[in-house]
Amino acid sequence: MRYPAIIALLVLPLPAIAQDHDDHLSHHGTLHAMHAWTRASARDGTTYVFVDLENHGAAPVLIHGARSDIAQTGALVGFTLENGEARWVDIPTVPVAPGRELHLEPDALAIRLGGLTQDLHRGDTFDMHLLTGIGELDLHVAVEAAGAAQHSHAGHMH
Amino acid sequence: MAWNDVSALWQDIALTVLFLVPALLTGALVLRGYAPWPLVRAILWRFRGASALFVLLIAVSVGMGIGLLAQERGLRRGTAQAADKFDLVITAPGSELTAMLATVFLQPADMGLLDGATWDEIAGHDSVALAAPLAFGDSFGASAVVGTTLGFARYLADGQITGRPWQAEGEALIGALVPLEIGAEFTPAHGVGDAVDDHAHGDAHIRVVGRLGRSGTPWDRAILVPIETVWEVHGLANGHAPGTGRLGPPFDAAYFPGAPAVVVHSDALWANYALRSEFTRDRETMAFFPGAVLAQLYGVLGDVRQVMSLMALVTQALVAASVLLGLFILSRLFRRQIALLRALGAPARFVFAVVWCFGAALLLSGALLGLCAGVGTASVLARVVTARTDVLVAAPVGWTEIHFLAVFVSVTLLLSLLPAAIVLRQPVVQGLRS
Repeated sequence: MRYPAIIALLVLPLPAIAQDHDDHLSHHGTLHAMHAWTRASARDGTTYVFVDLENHGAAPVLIHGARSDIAQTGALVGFTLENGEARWVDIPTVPVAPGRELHLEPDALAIRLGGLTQDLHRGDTFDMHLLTGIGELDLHVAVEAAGAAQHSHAGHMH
Repeated sequence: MAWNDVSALWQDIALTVLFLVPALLTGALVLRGYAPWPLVRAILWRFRGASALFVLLIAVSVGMGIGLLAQERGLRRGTAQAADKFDLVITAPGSELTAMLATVFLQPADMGLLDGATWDEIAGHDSVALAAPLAFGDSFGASAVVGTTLGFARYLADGQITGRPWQAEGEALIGALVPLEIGAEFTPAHGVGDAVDDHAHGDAHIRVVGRLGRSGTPWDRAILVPIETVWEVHGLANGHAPGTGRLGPPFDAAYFPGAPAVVVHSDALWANYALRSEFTRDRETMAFFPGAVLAQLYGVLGDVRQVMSLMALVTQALVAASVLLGLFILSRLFRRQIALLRALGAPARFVFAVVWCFGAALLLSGALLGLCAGVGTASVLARVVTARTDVLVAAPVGWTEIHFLAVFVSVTLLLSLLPAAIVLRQPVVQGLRS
């Protein structure tokens, strides 16, 4: 009687873990995405979305930008330092080479969501669609703390 | 039109006007219908010693605040400009900060080496327009001797070379501030700073053949030599198969002894980001943007900047309080004249205007003189920092300081209503007897 109970206790959380796992991963065609995240932000403001991309195909995949129901704009931007001030400049497109990874991360590349239609609090999630040369890749974006530097699951292998 | 659509210049002008509005409104209301200038001028002249002292006190305080704020911004810009030529740096895994300080600011550091296969991969990448290996570790006097390629030397100096480029091993291009002349010969020492060994490379003689244009970075004190020279001086292969006699890339991976850093430049902005992702590999290579590392550093130092700004504001507040107290004391000096004015039937508002105007004259003169003192302070500090760091620091007074001054003027002009009001409350008879 004792063993079935232990097994049940071990197995019961698995669906939740699997759901959590699915939330962190997504793919469209040959393009895979993992750990999409952003920082807590206020309504009407701007936030930057970061995600790890990997192209499993044999041809480059172009990344153009993104769209989301919670923002008016979604542009691909790159970090730069001008006169000692941090700036994000628009990048029309970036290719992910075959078999390569592209990291959208702080102080590098990001998706800038402008004109947020709602507050984003730590622990929230929302959907975003990455606009690519092979179609839209659906991402489930996790909202981290306002000063976060990485996804709370960064380093976890999924 | 949204605020964000307005140009930065007009935003700054609008903010300055906005900050000055309280002062302008106060002045307009207090002086409405009166012209107290002759009387104020006479009071200023009568108490010129005390007035000059107050103006000087305000000017020094404002000048120090403005000078420090401008200097902080100048230093940030100068260090950022020093990293301009280093779009992307690839090294062995380690600390990005250490690697950035070593490559951009030529600070000595122990770093792992990138091997020939990695070099081949970087240099042969389609998106790479310029890849330059850097080899540190030797010096001559206060100058670091850096092995690299001629392409990087040209890139660093924007093609400005006095003399001629190197054409053979044992030739060097010197930075704009290196105290050597073209044609001079020297023997590099092994190591940098206190750990230097002057005799380790005793048989090596390097001749200066050209001088690079001024870049305003620590590289102005560097001596650049073909990387093959550095490798050979250390008894290593020179990057090429024996007998080829080649200088510069392409290097033969089999004879590539290793380089602590490779500077990468790409013509397309997006390519830098892709390259960074591509060459960031666990336990293999580390790719980073020196600009991003500096931005992180500024983020950490941001607290210091806020403390500096707060200190400047506290200083201004203390000076404003001193000035108010001083105005009150000064008003005691001409208490009799004020009482006489009131006894002769001068309206209370006119007397109020005279006292406020006197205070405003001191504050405005002090603020303007302080602005000039701030420009001078920033300039002197910039020269000192440039001389000590070789990072070209220009610290012109900017809109931040103008806004700071506008807020100071508005707040103090509002506060100087208090002494004027207190003077009016004093009995006329006592004033006449004083």
